Amino acid sequence: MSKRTYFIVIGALALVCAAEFFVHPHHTIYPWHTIPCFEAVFGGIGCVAIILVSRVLGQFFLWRTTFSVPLEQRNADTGSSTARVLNWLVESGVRVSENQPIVEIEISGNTKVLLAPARGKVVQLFADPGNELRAGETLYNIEVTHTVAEMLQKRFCGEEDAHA
Amino acid sequence: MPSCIFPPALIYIGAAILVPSLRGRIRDVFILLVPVIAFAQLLTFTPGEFWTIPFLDDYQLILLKVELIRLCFAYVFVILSFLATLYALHIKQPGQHVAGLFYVGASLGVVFAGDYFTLFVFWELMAVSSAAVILSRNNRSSRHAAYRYLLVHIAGGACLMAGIVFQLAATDSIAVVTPAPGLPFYLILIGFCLNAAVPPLSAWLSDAYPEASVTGAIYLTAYTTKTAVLVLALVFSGTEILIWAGAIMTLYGVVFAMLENDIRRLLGYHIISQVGYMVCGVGLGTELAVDGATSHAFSHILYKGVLFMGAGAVIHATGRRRMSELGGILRKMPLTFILYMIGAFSIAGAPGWNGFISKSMIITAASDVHMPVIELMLVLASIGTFLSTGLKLPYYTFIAPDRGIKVGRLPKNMTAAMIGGAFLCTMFGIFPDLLYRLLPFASEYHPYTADHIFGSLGCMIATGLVFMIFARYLGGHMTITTDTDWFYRKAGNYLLRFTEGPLDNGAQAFTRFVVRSVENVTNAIYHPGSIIRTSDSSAAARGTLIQSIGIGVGLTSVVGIMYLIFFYFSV
Repeated sequence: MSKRTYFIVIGALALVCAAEFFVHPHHTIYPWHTIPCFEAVFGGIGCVAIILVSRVLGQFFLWRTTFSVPLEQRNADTGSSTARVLNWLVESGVRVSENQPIVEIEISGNTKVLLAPARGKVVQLFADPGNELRAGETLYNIEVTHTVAEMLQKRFCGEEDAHA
Repeated sequence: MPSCIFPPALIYIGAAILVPSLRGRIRDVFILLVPVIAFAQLLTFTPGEFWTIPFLDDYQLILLKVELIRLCFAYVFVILSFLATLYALHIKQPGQHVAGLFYVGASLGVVFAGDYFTLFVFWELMAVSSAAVILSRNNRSSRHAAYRYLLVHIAGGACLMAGIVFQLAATDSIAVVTPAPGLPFYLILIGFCLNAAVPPLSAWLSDAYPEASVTGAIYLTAYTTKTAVLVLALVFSGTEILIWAGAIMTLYGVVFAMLENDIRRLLGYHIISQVGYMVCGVGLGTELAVDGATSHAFSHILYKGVLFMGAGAVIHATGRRRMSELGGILRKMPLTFILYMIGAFSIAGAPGWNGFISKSMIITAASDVHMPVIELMLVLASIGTFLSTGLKLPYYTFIAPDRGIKVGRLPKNMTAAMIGGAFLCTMFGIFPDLLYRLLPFASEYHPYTADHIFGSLGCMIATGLVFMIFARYLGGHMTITTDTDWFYRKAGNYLLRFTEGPLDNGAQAFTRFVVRSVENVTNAIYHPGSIIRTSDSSAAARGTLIQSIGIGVGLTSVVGIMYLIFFYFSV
């Protein structure tokens, strides 16, 4: 975020907080209804709390890292940029090693076998035999470690980082 | 007898049956006309109208019971069905249109059902037709998701049915009233809570909705959970457990949404979160709280429709559904961004949009009955809602650095539906009385007070500031979040393995045992003297198998006929 954006947001917050000192609270039941800027402070603290709690839950309990393997442009027909899925050589739920054959596809009449990009567990197949896929669409999901997922992300989706 | 030929549910279902026989422009006009006709019919309804038919001598089926709260839900259901149909108008295959109209019809049936039997029939119809909406995307993942969805809802329906049977046994009435305490109360409550996606019965929602097609998902966002809120409000208003269930739900949805990478699944978790407000309002049970729940359902259906349409437009145009794969499409889809942000400001409760006028009613109702913890939990969930739907999702989808994503064209009807939804969100936000005068209890409430406006603004800007500080850590992670569906997915796999392995082997062994015993009896009949002969060749075994089946069937029918004769003479 640029300095200017910070400046605008902090300025707006200061203005709203200042305005609250001049407003008579309308509906007071608890002490905090009368404190000026209570909502803003609660908003800031609450937001940090939500971010931290959800992050901890994700990191330690709930996240599994999967990568959606797309159909690459070089594996698609140059004209229509599609390919037809012929046959799955694995089922979902199967652990695969790197370069293990995963799927047979047909590109303008030729059959080609696509290999696993990394060691992992195939968790979901996104096409049936006979389906046409466009380049860029997901073929299957593979469960891998987080670092491998980042490597695959760079390889398949270009060099930009999600956090740049 | 009301001023109509049949209830609005049957208008939709009848139309759904006609759709496949129509084509092209005529079909487009027809499916857009259905909600218009239904809406015109709703305008003629006055509270207190009944449409009943006798059932099994002792009971009355009430197909149409008009009350203010039911009418309020029906209005918004019909409005959203118009927007959803418009959004899906470019779809050429009739399948999804049929499923969608059926689904709307079934949920209108539940809305106006005056007895538990009618309610149950439409309830199940709703489960089946919504599964058909998911199925109509017709790829592998949607088929699997629809299958899991159907299994969960059949379980919920069975629970509801059991509750209704116990209720009938206890009270000898099928009218929709608060069930008798004990088993009927809890079974019906669980059945309703499953459809309202109260955790831990909520995983079906975030599992199935994002697997529907871009257009089908719009139908799904509105009906199942909100009909559940309505029936909860009708019979469980003031149940204390719902207050806490609802408040926990709001935070549960927020936390899981924070962990999500798939844009529609993120929004799906926010359905759970927002329905939590309504469940909480129903649990509070005061007039203001139930009015708040009703108006929040009304607002929620509109802005969630807009949000899902916006996310769907992004998926339609780019083919990508994960935040970690999106970014930088603001210049290419400016209108979608603006309309999405109107939905986001509405859901976050920004002054000027319809979330502000309804969510604050429930929060005020909570502080009115002196539940400070509930009030703060609801405000906290509101902060989280703005954080993920108003800041994180649009930032990583539209504003984050460009990845050179190719953006396709959007059909005009999709844009028109989004504009319609965003317009309604803004209209009800600016003129809250339009909504308030539809509410069942007409409670006195003024959302636009100076301290309330500045309070909300301060809260949102502070959230924005925190987001800006943390933004670089919040990007989409290529992860799958484990939710409670893990249990039945695992259990389902084990069940399948059990049926394929031990159970099947056991069944085969049992069959072999039966065949052999029958064979032996046959031999005893045909070859007296040689009592036991083990079958040695499979061909011989098959031959005797057919013989023995014949004899078995023959013997059984003789016994059956004799039993019938005895029964006849004894009566």
